[in-house]
Amino acid sequence: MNASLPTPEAPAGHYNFKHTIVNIAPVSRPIVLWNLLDFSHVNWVHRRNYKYCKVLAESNLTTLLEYGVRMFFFLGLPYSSALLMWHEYVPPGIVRHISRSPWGTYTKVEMVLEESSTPDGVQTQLTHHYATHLPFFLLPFKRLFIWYIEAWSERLWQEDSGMLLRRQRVLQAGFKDHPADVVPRAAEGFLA
Amino acid sequence: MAKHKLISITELQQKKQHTMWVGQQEVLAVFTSQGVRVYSGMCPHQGGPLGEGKFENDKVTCPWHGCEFELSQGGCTDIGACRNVSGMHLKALEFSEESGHIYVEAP
Repeated sequence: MNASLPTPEAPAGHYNFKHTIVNIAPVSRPIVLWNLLDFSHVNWVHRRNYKYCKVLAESNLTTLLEYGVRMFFFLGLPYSSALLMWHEYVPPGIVRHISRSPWGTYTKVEMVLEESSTPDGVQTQLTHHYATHLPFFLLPFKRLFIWYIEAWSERLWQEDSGMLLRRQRVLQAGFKDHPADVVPRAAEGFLA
Repeated sequence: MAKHKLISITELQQKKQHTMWVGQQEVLAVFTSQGVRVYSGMCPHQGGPLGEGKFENDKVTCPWHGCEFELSQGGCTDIGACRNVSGMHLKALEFSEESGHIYVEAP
C-alpha cells in the first residue's frame, strides 16, 4: 500500500513534559531497527505491556497502528486502553511515533539510533526522546511520571534485548528469514 | 561433518524437548507421540528461539511472533501474529540413535 499517511501534529504548546531515556545494545543498527519496525512481535514478546498491536494501514515508511495498552502494567491489572499510533521511519537512523490517547492527549517519541565501534565489535545507542501532555493536576507528580515512563521502558527493553542478541547470533550463524509473500495477505485494517 | 551427541533418549523422554547449539546450528530435539524428531531450533520465520516456546500436544509455538508448528512433520499450523508469510516449515536435521543416545550431524 502506498497511500500517503502524514503524521498528525499536536496543537502548539501541547507538550508540557519531556524525558529522555538512553539504551545501548551490543548489536548493529540494522538489528535494532528490525526490532523497532517489527510490530508483530509486540503481540507476543510484549504481552505484559500491550494486550494487542494491530496494523491498520501502512505506506512505505509510515504505519498506522492500534495498540491495546496495559496502562496499569505495574499493578499487573489486565485493563487495557486502545490507543492510535502513527509510526514513522526516517532513514537511516530515526524512528518516531506519535500516539493519541482516548482522552485526546498526544505522546510523541523520537528514537535516534547511533551505531559505534567498540573493542568487542559494534554497539548501537538508542535514545528515546519522550514528550507528552500532563493535565494540570498531574503536574506536581512529574517525578512519579518519570518513574512510570522509565519502568515501562525498562520492561520493554529487557524483553527486546534478548531478541536483539539472539537475532544477531542467528544472522551470524547464517540464518535467512523466511521470504515474505509477493502478494501481501495481511488484512488487518480498514485500508487492507 | 561430525557427529555430536545431543541427549539420551531416556532424558529426552522425561524433558520432552532439548535445545543446544552445535557449532553454528541450534538443534531442537523433541520427543513426540510419533517418536524422536530433531529440527533446527531457529524458527524459520525470523530465527526465534523455538526451545523457549510453548510445547503442547505435539506442537510448538514460537515466543517471538506466535508461529505454531506441528512436531511430527514440522509443518506450520498457525502463523500467529506474522504477516505476509506462508509455507513455513521446520528444518529437519539428520540424526541417529545409538546406544540410547541421540546424535546429530553438524559441521
